Amino acid sequence: MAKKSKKLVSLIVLTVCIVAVLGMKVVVGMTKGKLSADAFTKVKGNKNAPLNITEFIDFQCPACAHGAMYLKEVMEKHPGLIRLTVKHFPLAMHQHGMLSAGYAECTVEQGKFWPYHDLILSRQNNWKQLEDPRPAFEQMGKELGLDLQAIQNCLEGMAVVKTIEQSKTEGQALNIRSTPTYFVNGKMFVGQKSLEQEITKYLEEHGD
Amino acid sequence: MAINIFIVFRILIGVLFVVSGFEKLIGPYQNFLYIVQSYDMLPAWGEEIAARTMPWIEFVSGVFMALGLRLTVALPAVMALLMAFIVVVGQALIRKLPIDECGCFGTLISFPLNVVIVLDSLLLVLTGILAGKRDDAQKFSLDGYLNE
Repeated sequence: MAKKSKKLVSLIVLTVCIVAVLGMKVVVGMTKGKLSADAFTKVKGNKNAPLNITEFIDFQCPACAHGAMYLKEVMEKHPGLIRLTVKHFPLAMHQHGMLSAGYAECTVEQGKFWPYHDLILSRQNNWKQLEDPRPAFEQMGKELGLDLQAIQNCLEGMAVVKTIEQSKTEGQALNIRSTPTYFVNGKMFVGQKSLEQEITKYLEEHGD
Repeated sequence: MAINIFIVFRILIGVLFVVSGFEKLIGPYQNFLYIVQSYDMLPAWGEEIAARTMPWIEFVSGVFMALGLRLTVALPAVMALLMAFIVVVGQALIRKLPIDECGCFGTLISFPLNVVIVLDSLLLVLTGILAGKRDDAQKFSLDGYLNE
């Protein structure tokens, strides 16, 4: 008798566990945010590209630097394949995450976001350990011929912080926890490895 | 009345597994997949399976352990999970993999790997003691109630 009731109780507990998790997933899914259109974002690539990728990035994250290099290579090798949008997601664990996002965001109005994006990520190892990375950020700006005073003015304004925070809030509502997180045609992929698998799969199925 | 320390440990460890598993289960599985991938131990298909099944095993074995139900299965299951965590984290430490946070509790709490391996080892010892003292751990449990 005890054996029989133990089986029944186990089944009931197991069912409750499954229902609780699935129920909570439904609730979380209902409150989940949506990927917004390109307002406040940085975009490159063919407008009609078959792979529309949105990347949530932290400029101090090493995996983001590798991921950006990978995407750049793919976009050069397969022009027209990808339309890339970058959104900020500076992580609290990275002390210069917010500042680097600020510098990058402030290059947008001078039309130099992408060269600055590539440079700041490729030199990440040079500035991420610095106590104050501002001189390194400014040096990169100088190399790209940016108006540093305009960058300074931009950094002192509230608009840049608002843009970055808006981006981060959007990411949080999408349940993003780590960077880089990519949305390929709306489907979530976390980290370069998953992204690579998806792009490779697409190329195998459709070619260039 | 003296507090039965075995019951306290059983419930605490169970709850720890419940919280850890539940947090991973309600979020997108891709977040946990990324953590599994960062330990670089399994082929792609193995990472997929681990990311989809591990949180369920964690959650269900935690519930059974906290409730004291089917402890003959729940205790070894928790011990097996802890041993697996120790091996995975240990190899990451030996290989000096660039992992900033363990991902053990999803996004709730984060520990560096060297702290995690100590905590997991401690939990493994405690769970081993519970398995050895199952009669004591079984008090105030569903197993105890159903066996009456």
